[in-house]
Amino acid sequence: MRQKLDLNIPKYKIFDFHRHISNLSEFEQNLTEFNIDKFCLMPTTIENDFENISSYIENIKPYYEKYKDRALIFGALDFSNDYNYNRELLEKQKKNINIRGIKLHPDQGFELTKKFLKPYFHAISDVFGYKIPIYVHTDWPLKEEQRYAPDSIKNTFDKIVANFSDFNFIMGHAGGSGAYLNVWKSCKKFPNVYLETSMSPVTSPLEEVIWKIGPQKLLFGSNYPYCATSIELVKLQSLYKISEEDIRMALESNAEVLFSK
Amino acid sequence: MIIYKDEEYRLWDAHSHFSNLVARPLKSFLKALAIYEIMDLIFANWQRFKSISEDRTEKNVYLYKLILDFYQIDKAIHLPVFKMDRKLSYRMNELFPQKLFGFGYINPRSKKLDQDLQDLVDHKVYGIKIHPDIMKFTFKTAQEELIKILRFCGENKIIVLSHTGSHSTLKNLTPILKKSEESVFIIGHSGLCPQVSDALQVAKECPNSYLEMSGNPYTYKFIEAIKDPDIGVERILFGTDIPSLHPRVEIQKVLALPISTEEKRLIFSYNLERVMRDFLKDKFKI
Repeated sequence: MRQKLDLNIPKYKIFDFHRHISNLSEFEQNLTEFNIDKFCLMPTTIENDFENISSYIENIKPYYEKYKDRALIFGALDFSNDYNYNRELLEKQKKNINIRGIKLHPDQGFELTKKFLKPYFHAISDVFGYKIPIYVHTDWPLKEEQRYAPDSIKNTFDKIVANFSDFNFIMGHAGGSGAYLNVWKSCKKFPNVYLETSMSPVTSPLEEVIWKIGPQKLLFGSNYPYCATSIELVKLQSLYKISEEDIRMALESNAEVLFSK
Repeated sequence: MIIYKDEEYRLWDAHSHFSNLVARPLKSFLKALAIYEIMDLIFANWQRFKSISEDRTEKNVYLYKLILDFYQIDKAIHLPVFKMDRKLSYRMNELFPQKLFGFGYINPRSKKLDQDLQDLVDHKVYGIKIHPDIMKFTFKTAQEELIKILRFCGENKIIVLSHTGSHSTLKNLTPILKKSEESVFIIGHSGLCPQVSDALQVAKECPNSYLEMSGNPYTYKFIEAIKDPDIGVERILFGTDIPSLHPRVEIQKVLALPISTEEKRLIFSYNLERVMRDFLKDKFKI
């Protein structure tokens, strides 16, 4: 017996919550192929520009100019500098590329304590208020002292959310390759938490989020160009005992609703 | 066998599991190891398969085969999760030798390592699976034992597959593989996200290693490996990690690669078939 596995690209417009820039023509081709209308552009670009956010602004500017009505750009903080520096940095990103969210990546080396993070979150709220969503990448670097075991969501992502609960948070990659089990618990504990689905390796934890919390919590992300958009689409379409309408919400409208909050 | 864009592809799965732990009362525990779709498939067929055999191991072999058939997987390597699942592997090799390749189990920390290695030969297994987390070792702390195991496996035509990506650092694998060049080593999950670059580096430096794709989302890294003259498409293997991951998603990882139909066929089945034929020689009877 043979099974046809041809792709089923939705007729409705997709909102991709996690993209990076790449070659511009390939980027455009990918948007067209998968019927992606709006999208979030995340740091970093191909170079590791978390260390040089001015270079990030320059790299992403052509995309900002070209896709003004379609792209929602995420900015970044510089954890090696203080409140004043970061406030100015956020103002610069607001003015030059109109950032609509902030991305935190564990590779930036920030400490997971309220004391350390407080001035940075103050800078964000002073520039944008509390409506700007915070995206946190969730594959934490493995450490020898922990025998390279992945860090739990409870000890990482949840700690940030608990300390700055006035913001909306997105769990990037829905727990990543090591902490994907029971992510619905973070959504239950914190009503201000959403999950972005790219790179999440297992389908069942995403099903549990919809079954136990609701379909409004999932945000489709492609992580283009590092991951293939078709894989991320097939992953959502393979979810078990989930209605077409719920999958459509993740692909089409949940992100719009989050940005309108 | 699947069809994608009017092309047919055989599926040979280099990474799948089942366990004799499967039992109705353990359903809540198993959800950490298996996706809901597969659990429902198992338990929906539980009574029917009970009538096929009263022997639990034999029944589980049939249930495992049912899962593979459901997802159109033609042939699969079965990797024991726990030590007791060796028996499941041995039984499937007897019942379906043309379809299921049950691997054995070796813990590098075993106090009876020599006996365990001899057990592999006695049962004529095609390979073994090692897991740094479940077996509580790292490529650094168990270097000596791993060299011994790999050399033994090289001499006795036994493939070695290890979980990689968490619970041990992949950089420490290179010196082990360099000291056991006659072995065949499959880098399970290709280092997942955190260690994918290291997995590619190991593959570059050690021509006796193969990158297995399950669980690894980084398409761009597999493109890099395919283009790398020191790795190439011939050393990449398709895997599903059934029942933990969704086979449809893992299949798409190969279909999404910007390579030719023939190259996709290599990854889906011909590479594994070639490795088994060339390395296992007379032992491989298909």
